[in-house]
Amino acid sequence: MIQGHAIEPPQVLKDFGVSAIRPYGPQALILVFADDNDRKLDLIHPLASHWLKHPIPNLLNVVPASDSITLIFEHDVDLKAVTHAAERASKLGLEPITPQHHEVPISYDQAPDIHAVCDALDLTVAQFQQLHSETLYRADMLGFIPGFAYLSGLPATLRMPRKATPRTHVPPGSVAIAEQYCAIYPLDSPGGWHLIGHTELPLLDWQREPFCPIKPSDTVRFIPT
Amino acid sequence: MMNDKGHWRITQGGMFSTLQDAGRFHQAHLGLPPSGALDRPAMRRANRMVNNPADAAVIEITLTGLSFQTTVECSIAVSGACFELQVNQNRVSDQQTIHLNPGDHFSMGQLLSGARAYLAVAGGFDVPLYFGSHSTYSRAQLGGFQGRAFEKGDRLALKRPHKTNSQQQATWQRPKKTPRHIIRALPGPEYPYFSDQVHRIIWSQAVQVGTDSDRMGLRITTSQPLLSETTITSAGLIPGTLQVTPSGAGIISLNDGPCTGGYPRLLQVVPEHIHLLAQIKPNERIHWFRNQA
Repeated sequence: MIQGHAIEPPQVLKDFGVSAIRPYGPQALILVFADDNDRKLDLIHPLASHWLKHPIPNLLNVVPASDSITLIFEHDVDLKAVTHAAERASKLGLEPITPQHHEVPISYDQAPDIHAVCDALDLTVAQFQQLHSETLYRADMLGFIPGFAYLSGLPATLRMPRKATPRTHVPPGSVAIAEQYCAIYPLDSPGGWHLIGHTELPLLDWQREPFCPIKPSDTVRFIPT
Repeated sequence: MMNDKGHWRITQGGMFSTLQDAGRFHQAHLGLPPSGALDRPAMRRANRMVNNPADAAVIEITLTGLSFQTTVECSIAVSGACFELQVNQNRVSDQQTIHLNPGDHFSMGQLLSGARAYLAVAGGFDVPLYFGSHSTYSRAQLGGFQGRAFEKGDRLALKRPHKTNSQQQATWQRPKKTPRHIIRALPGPEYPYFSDQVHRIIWSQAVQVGTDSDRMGLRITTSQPLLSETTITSAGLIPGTLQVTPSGAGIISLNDGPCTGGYPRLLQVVPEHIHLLAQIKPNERIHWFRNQA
C-alpha cells in the first residue's frame, strides 16, 4: 500500500458502501464511506459491530466514526484478510443493530455556559431547553475520552463553534455542545465545548462490560429535571 | 493483609511511575485507548532478564527514579532509560539481573540517558486485570495500581516473588545520550492535503518536543507553523500519528491518546520506531526521516 494514496476497494466492500480505502501507516487502514451516502451510518455501525464479534486475524481495534471505519492491526495490514472478512460478513449477512435508547436526565439552569450560549444564539434558556430536549440524538462515534459519545442531531439553531480557549477542567456529567454535536463528559477532562447542562447519569463503570451506557449508534433523549 | 506473598513499600514514586503491559485492546470503539508500555521492546527485555513472560506487567518510570524496600527476596531487572541504581546505597550495575533480600532498599538515582525505564520483578506484580490488561490509564483512574502513578508509602503486592537462578547480562544498548532523535515516518492519511511548503518544512527541519508532553502525546513545534487548509471529520487515531492543530503546532499521539481525532494527520511513525518516542525528553529535537514504502 502506498501511504497517502487511496486504494480502490474490492467489490465486496463497495457493496457495503465503502467508497475508498486509505492506508494509515503499515498497520491500520481507513474504510471511507462517501459523503453523499445518506445511509452511511446504517452501514458503518453494523459492519463495525460484525467485526467486533467476528474479528479479522490480528485485529486489535475497530473504530467506527461518522464517515469511516478504522481497522487497527497488530501486524502489517493484510488486505486479502480484510477482503476475506468482508466476504464472510456478506455471506453471513450483517445483523441489523438494535440501538439502545437512553433517556438522560439533565438540568440546564446551573450550567456554566448556558447564559452565554443563549445570548449568542438569541434564545431564552426556556427556548434553548425546549429545542435541546425535544431532539432525538444518535451516537455517531465514541472517542476523545472513554465513553465520550459524539451525539449528532443537534438542531442547526443551536450550533456554536468550539470555545476559543478550552477549559482545563470540565467536571464529569457536564453536557456540552460544539458544532453539530452534543456530548456528555464522563470524566474530569480539559474541554473546548460549551457546557449547557449537567446529568447525574452514571457514565463509567469499569466492573461492567460495556463500561459505558452509550455505545455507537445508540439513541439519546435529554429529559429536563 | 491476607495471603501476603511479599510486597514492596514505595519510598519514592518518581515523577510518573505506572504499571504497564502490552496494552488493552478491543475497546477503542468505546473510546478506551490501548495504554501499555510506550517502549515495548524495553519492557520485554526487562521481563526476559527475570524469566517472566515477555508481556508481563512492569513499572514504567518517567524521568525521575522509583525507590522501594522489599519484604521478600526477589529478582528484578531494569531496561530502557539508564539510571544510577543502588541497593542499600551500594551502586549496582543496570546491565544484569539484580537479586534482593528481605529488607533491602532499591533506589534509582540520577537519569543518565533516555526518558523511560522499565522495572520487572520475577513472578510479577499482584494487581487486577481490567479488560485483559494490567496497564494503567491514569486519566480515567483505570488499571495498574489503583489507576494511578505510584506515591511514597504505597504498598505494592508481588504475585510469585522468587530469585531467578539466572545471572543474565543485558545484551542491548542503552538509549544514546543525545538531544537529537532520528525517527522514521511515512506520510499520514491527510499528507497529500498539506502544501508543498509544509512537506518541505517537515522533512527538512528538526521539530522541538514541548514540556507539556505526556503519555497521551508529544507536543511539537516547528520554526514555521505547519499551516493546513484541510479539515477532516473525526476518525480513528493510532499511536505515532503526527496531527497538526489549527495553530500549526503538532501532537504525536501516544498510547494514552484519544481513539479518535479531528485534526489532519500529517505523518505516521513507522511501527519499528514508535518505541523510540518513549525515550525523548522535553526540549529535545526530532529529525524526521522519510521511510521508503
